[in-house]
Formats: sequence, structure tokens, C-alpha cells
Amino acid sequence: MYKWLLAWRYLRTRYLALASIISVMLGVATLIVVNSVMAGFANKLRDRLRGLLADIIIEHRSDSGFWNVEQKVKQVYEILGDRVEAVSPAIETFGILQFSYPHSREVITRPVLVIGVEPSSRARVGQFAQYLLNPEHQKNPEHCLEVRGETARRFRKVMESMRRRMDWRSMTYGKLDPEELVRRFDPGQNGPTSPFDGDSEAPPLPPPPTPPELPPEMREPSGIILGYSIATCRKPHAQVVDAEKDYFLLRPGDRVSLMLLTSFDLPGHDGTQGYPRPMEDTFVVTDLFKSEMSEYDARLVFIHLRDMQRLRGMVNRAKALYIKLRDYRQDAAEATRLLSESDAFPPYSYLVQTWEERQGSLLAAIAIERGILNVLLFLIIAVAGFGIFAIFYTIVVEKTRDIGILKSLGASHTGILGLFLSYGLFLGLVGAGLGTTLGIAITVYINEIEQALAYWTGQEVFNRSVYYFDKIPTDMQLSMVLLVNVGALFIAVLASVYPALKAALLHPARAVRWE
Amino acid sequence: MPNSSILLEARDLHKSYHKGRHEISVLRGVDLRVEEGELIAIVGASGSGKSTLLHLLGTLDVPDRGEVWFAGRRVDRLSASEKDRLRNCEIGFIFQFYHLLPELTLLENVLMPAMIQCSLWSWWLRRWEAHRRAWEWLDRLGLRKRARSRPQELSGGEMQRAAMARALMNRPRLLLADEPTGNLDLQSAQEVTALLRDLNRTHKLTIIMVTHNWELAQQADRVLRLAEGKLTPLTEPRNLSAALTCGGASP
Ligand SMILES: Nc1ncnc2c1ncn2[C@@H]1O[C@H](COP(=O)(O)OP(=O)(O)O)[C@@H](O)[C@H]1O
Ligand SMILES: [Mg+2]
Repeated sequence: MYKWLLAWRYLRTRYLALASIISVMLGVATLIVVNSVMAGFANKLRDRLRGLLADIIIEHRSDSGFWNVEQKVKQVYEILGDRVEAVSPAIETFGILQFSYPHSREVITRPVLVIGVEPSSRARVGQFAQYLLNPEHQKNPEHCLEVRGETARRFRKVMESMRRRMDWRSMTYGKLDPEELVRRFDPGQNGPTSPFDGDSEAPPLPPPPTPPELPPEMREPSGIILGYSIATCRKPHAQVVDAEKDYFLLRPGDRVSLMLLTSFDLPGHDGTQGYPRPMEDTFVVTDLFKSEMSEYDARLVFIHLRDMQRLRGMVNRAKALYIKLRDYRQDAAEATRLLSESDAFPPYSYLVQTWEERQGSLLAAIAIERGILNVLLFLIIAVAGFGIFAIFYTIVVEKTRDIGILKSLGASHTGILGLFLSYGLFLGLVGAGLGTTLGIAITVYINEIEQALAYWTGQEVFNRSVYYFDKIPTDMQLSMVLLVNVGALFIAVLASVYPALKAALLHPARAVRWE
Repeated sequence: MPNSSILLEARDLHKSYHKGRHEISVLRGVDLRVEEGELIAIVGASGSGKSTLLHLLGTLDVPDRGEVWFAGRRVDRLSASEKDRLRNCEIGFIFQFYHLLPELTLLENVLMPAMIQCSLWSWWLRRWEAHRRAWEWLDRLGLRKRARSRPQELSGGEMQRAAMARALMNRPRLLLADEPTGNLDLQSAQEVTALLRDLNRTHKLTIIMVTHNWELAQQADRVLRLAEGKLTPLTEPRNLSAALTCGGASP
């Protein structure tokens, strides 16, 4: 009984012990905050990665993909039955995007990842619609690639001014002799330039599979959705609190041109092996895509699957099927197995993966990072443990006489041991309790704290050009908080074991004499 | 087999300490028999081993050789937990420097032996009884008003009386007092002395005390002198005063 009373009194009267309480408190608070923020980031990242892919991805190994998209979709439904919620075909390829920002004539070229999608099914398969900037498109994603309304009006205006400029330019070119121009640009009239030219047996090149019918100026062009960072740039001194942090360099209605390669291994029209050639087309920006993942927002470009098929010569072909399951957790493994074992998707030409398998290395990297950080942070509490150890040791020395008195009054070894262990436990409890409160408070108000810090220091703590998240995401798990607390208590008690043993084994007579 | 009226008996106690390579033999064959209800004073020069002897008698330390019998039981070879029980219930200690616990109030200090005796649960059941006893002792020793103060707020005499209340809390049969008046002014010393004598008379409490105090020693039934590691009886007041002066540390 007396040990609780004394431990409690020691806690209240020894201000030295405050130091160890504070170190436990800081350790616990840091662990909680860092874990919550890391979990928040990881969750957001997982959420985004999954949303940008789909639950399961079937990918054809060849560049030209598979034929008869509709039938393959039907087969997926047949194999998986009502486990499937939606299927969407897609073609992904690399391309080069060219455009000039308004008010500047400079042509900007960007390598991009072009994704041909069917907007309506794509929106059902993963997160797509919610990342579009136009709220209209968020509601009805099937129209997001159509050039309509205000976008079309703006485009016509842009084109009009451009045509005027072109006219002006053609007037300058017009001063040249047209015959001279033809001579300059038509290699046929200038003798052999191709190594195959002399060989009359050389097969004629296959024509482009489906060339654009009309020059872009005369045709209503297709829509394109650009990644947010392609179309914007950050204001140089943007504050965290500013609502508008970016300049829009391209807006819906602006014109961009996109260059792709035709599909690699489609046979030529005469049955010979074809080889890729560049295809270029003009697109109208219909919307911007902001997933808040800088990597994706700077590289992704969406066009309609139809346009992709036309440009790459992949009529009724697609390269991948994105599948959304009704219950991912329960069915993912089974569904992957069924798909890869079916005759419709033989493994030598199809790769069936869940999104986690596909992003495996990144997810593993996040997990490892979190693990290491936790170990490091736990060392903080271990340091606090050493603090408790040192403080306890001095307290035991200081209390030698009192320990002798207690023994002379009949206190047992275990009683004295218990006294100091419960003192350690109290210190740990108070430290962990305060730390938990502090940690939770910081986590809950982390965005306000960050803003205040940014305001005082004029420096962004959390660099928005790397992460586009407007708020610092947090995710506080009860189990994590409990684990951190248990760990802190364990370390506090562990650190008091040795001093407590030393106290318990003090020689009573010598302790009583001790002055 | 010791006589039934004998409460404490020491037989041929030896004790020596090691200081570096030297061995100091402090007690060299101490024999002592204390009857129930006796008040015994032990005098001797400082460093002669009086405290050591009290510690051996109170089982705070073990003799190198010899035996200690308490109430017909050999106690120097008891297990640690039995010694703890003995010190808790049967033997009370008072020290020269009071040795109160500074974190606790007087009342809590006095309650301490009862708390040590009880687990958390049994303390819950018996706390009122314990409080009643503690208040009784505090009353008896004139400390009622001081019960809620911390030891450092009190005078030496009050602290020593509180220490006595604590030692008597569990109604021990033997009280071991190590220079109880050694640190007190004359008046407090007289109060403490009177109290000890009174306790001895009214409660038949057996007291063994080490003292340099002339008056206190005079109150004793028997006065023993510890010198050269042996106890020798000393009854003549003249001799007593001689012994005290040659001890050289009388207050
Ligand atoms: N733990 C110890 N280690 C070494 N010597 C000790 C120890 N305790 C006591 N002594 C020595 O034993 C002798 C007797 O001490 P003590 O019993 O305190 O005498 P007294 O109480 O009569 O003054 C002293 O010389 C003291 O230095
Ligand atoms: Mg002494």
C-alpha cells in the first residue's frame, strides 16, 4: 500500500523527475504526429495509386494490343460473373506534346504519357472524374473529352486569330517562287536520298493506317485532358494561405498538338511487318486533371480511346482492360487467378495484376520508410528511458536513508522494488498521457500549425510543388496510439528496473547510517 | 531454553567490519539478557559499536558469530520476509536524527508501519482502525495539531516524538532507541526522556536505548557499558557519571 502513496508523493515533490516526464512526453507526441502524418500520406498515396489504376489490370504484352475489345470485355464478365463492377479498355503510350502558351510564340515540347480512355467506363472503374477540374465533367464524365460550349467557342476564336497569323505568314512565304518551294521540299525531284531508292524491288511503304481526313484547321478537333502541372505554373511567391497559387498557362479551348508513334508490330496493308511512324494531330484542351500527385499531374494526358485507335492504327484494339471489382479485399486473389488461368487471357500474351502488384515496389518502399522512421523515433523514447534511468539512479542514492528507514519499519525487498517500479510507471503514465494529448492536438491542428509557421517564417514547411495536397493528410489510428503508449510505459518501467533493484538490495543497517 | 520472562537475549555476539584491507572488530562477544518490561540504557564511547549492537538486536544486520533470541525464537537466522515481519510488528526503532520520511505528513509517517503491514485491499478495510490508533498516539505525544505538517516544519523534539509515535504504531514489544536525545535541546530531551519512562511503566514496553544523556541513563533499570567490544554492567551512579565523561560525548 505504502508504495503507491510514496510513489505518488515522489512524483509530486521531485521536480527532477519532470525532465524525464517531458522527454517521454515529447517522444510519445512525436511518434503519434509522425505516424499519423505518414499514415495520412501513405493512405492518400495508396488511394491515388489505386484510383489512377483500377483493382485489376489485364495488359496485353504486345504494343499493338488485342483485337475485338467488346468481346474481351464480355469475356471478363463471363469469367468473373457478378464480382465485376465495371471494365474499361485503355491504350497507353508515350507521346510528345507541343503547344505554345498564349502571349508567347515559343513552342513548348513535353514528353507525356498518353492514355486513351473511354471516359464513361473509365470513370466507373477508378477515380477519374473526381480529378477533373470542371465540375460539370465531374458529374458527367462521359462528355469530358467533347469540344462543346464555351470550350468550342474559345477554340474557334483562338483558331481564327491563328489563321490570321498564318495568312500573314503565307503572304511572306508567298513572295517565294512556288516552284522553288516544291523543288526544295520534294525529295523525288532531287535524285536519290533514301538508301533503298536505287533498289526498284524495294516494297512501297504502307500508307498510314487511317490518316486524319482533313487538315486540323478545317476539322472539329478532338478533346484532350492535360495533367494540371503541364498547364499551370506556380506563382513564385505563393503563400500557403493563398487560394490561387498557380497561373493557368493553358485553358480549356486552347490548342495543343500531340505526336505519337503508330503501333509497332501491326502488319502493313500488304501483309509485311510494319514499323512505327510518327503521327501528329491537333487537340483541344477540354479540361485539366489534378490528382494531387505531382508525378502524374506533370506527365499524364488523356485522349479518347477512339482517337488513340485512329492515330495508332489500332482499329478495334486496346492494350489493357481496367477492371473494378465489387469487393476488392475478398475477391482480388481469386479474380486474378481465374483471369490468368482462363483461355481468353493466356499468360504468354496477357499480364494480369492487381494494382498492388503493379505498384509493389513503391508501396514496399513506403512501408520500409515508415518502419525505419518508427525505429528511429522509438529511439527518442529510448533516450527518454535513459533519462529516467539516470534520474532514478540519483533518486535512489538520495533516498538511501529513507529506504533504510522503510526497511527498519518492516518493508520487504519486493515492497521497495515495487515502490520504485511504480514510480517509474507513474512517470511513464504521466509522460505518455501528456504526450498523447499533445500529439493528438498537434495532429488535429497540423494544418493550422503549418500555416502559422509559414506565416511567421515566410517559408513553406510543406512544399506544395512536390505534393499538391492542399492540406497535410493525417490518419490517426487508435491502435497506433495505444501501441506507442504501451511502448513508452514499457521503456519507463524497464529503465527503472535496475535502480529499483539496487534500492531493494540496499543493506538496511548501512542505509540507516547513511547521512 | 531461555527463561519465559526473558524477551531478548544475545549470546556471544561478534561483528567486524572491513575497511579496505583492515578488519575492525567492533563487537567481541556481547552477552545480553533483557527481561520483559525492562528499560535498559547502554552507554559507551562513540565508535564503540553501540549502533551496531542495536542493529544486530533489531535484525537490521546479521552477526558474524553468536545468536539473537527474541521471545523464545532465534531471530538472526530468520528468512528476510520473517525478519521484515518481526521489524514491522514486534520491534520499534528510534534514531538520533529522527529519520522521518520528508515527503509525508506526520500522520502519514505515523501510519507508515500499518501501511507496510497491509496490502492495498486490507489497507482499505483497516484504514479507519489504523487512523484511530495513529491519532491516539499523536494525542498521547501531544502532536495532534501538527499531524498535517511536514517533518521539516517541526522542531527536533516534535520530530523525535513523531518518530516515537511511528515506532509504537504497531504496538511492538521491544523499542530500540539509538541516542534518542542526542540531537535535542535540554527541554525536549527531558520530555522525550519522561515519555520513554512513562511508556515503559504504563505499557510494560521493553526499551533498550543507547544514550549519552545523564538523566535518561539514570531513569534506566540497568545501565550497561559497551567498551572494547564487550558489555559490562554499570550500576553505581558515580561510575555512571565517570563512564559518561570518559565517553566524552555527553551533551
Ligand atoms: N558499514 C560499515 N563499514 C565499516 N565500518 C563501519 C560500518 N559501520 C560502522 N563501522 C565502524 O564500526 C565502528 C562502530 O560504529 P557504531 O556502531 O556506529 O558506533 P557507535 O554507535 O557506538 O558510535 C565505528 O568505528 C565505525 O566506523
Ligand atoms: Mg551510533
